Amino acid sequence: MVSRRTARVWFFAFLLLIALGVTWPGALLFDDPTPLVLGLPLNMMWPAFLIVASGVALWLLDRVEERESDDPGSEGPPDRTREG
Amino acid sequence: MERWQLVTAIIAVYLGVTLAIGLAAGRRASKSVAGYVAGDRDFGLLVMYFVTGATVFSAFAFLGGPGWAYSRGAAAFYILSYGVLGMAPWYFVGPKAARLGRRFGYVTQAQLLVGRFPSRSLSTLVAVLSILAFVPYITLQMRGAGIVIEAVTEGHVPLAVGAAVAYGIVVLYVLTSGVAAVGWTNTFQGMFMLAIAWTLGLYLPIRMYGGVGPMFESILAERPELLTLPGLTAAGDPWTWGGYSSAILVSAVGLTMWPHLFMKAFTARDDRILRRTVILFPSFQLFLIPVMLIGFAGVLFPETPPAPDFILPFMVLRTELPGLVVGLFCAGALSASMSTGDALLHASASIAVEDGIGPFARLTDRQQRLLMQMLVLAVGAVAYGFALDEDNSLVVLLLTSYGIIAQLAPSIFATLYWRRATTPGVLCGLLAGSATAVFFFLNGELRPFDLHEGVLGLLVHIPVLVLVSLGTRPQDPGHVGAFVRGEGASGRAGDAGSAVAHAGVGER
Repeated sequence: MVSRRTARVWFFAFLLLIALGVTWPGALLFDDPTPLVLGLPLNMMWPAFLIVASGVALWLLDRVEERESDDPGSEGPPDRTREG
Repeated sequence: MERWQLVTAIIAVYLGVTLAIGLAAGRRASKSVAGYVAGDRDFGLLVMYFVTGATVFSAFAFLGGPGWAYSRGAAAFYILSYGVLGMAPWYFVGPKAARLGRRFGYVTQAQLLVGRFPSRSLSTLVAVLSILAFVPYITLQMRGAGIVIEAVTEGHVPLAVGAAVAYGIVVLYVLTSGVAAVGWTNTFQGMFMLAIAWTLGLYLPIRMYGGVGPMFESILAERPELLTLPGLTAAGDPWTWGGYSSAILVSAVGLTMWPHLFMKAFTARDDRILRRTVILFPSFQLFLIPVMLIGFAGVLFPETPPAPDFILPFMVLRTELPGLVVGLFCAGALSASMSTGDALLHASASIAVEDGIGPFARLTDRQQRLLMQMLVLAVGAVAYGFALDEDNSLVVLLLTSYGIIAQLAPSIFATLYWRRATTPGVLCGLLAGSATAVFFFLNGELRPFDLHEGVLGLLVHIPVLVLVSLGTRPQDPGHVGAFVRGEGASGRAGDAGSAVAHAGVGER
């Protein structure tokens, strides 16, 4: 089972990869407009794919965070108090 | 009835519904400053989702994005790229800031900063920077509203009148209901934006080219330079990779640092809602794709709009759509403009009072609220003056604002994650970073590798913050622990004035 710390490390590594993948020089790998993917140029589909992938990555991270929050032995459960 | 009259009638109905929702929302919130600024910290997931999405995606996305796709091609893909990077850190920063807000009574970003780094100068500096960045951003929204109304009414309602009417209504509900109006109108407007963008974005390429794929095949055959990264400049020359990459970075860094978005963390009912909002955000972000398709649909169109920012209403009008559809499109575009403009107007007035004036003058709750309402009018009037200037491109206005706002990021991260940061370090970093960004904004030809001035500001800002912090006396560990680890209780810091008084450290 993945710990919160490991999940966060993987998540930040994923963000770093995205940053490298959408800026120079990483974006050069996906600079070509062809082939068209689902009708969109490859270099437009690439950031669109990353938007979807980031949603999935955030959801996976959240599952680990929520599980550890529910575990009384884990650090810092989220504050769910409701104050005015 | 002529088409423009039908369109005007639909706009009037849309504006009426928005106003009614805005005014009704205010009845639920308390009359306190916390009610006006932070919605009594009672926003649920649905409202937070649309507040976040509709606030981030504005007239810039709805008009400027297609404008760039049309005139600068692949350069517009930077808008798709930065949202991914920009929103993810909010998963961690948002709930942490919200917890501190609930604990110490913060309703603005500067109050959080000053809670950790007690200094009236810091509070004033953040207020000034925020408002400096807000004015071009509000200008952009007003201009967007005016552009749409002028175009779809075929010039019968000029830009100046369209912007004045749309923003007259925004001012009215923000004055009356504060952030509660922003929340509920954004929910209505956000749904509208999503529906209109997807419908039109898929409809136009299908109608004009037979599909999205055939449209891009045609563009590749006739204008291949438009589909090659990093796209073109406004003049039609190839853009630089430095300019493209740094536009992504500065926008990603600045995205969640916008004080009006940051303040929404203080409106959430609990942390789980904020986290879920971030997880769901990519679903909102995908609406940029159909919006850009509309811009690309115009590339091979035989006629040209008066300016690239007009491409979206221009295409809607030229494709002979029924008046009802044009009217609904117009309402969608107005939603994009007004849903960001209302949050900005509300935040600029709240920040000016809470962070600019609050630390220096003791005001009653009623006086604060009244002053905020007067400032909503004042900021709105200034932005309206700028909106009438025809030389302003929507995306350029936004990028200018991002350069300033990105300078808040190091201070926020230092507040929440770096124990050794000190007040002089944060102040010097902010001053040095902002001065650098302004210098390169005014002297664009001196920017190395065509980097965005905001990125250059950060390259100076971060070392200054670190070096000055390490060279000055560390903060009391008990005080720091309350912010970095959420430990203990380090003196309430409800506003900058009381933060300074409580911490008893003044300008360290």
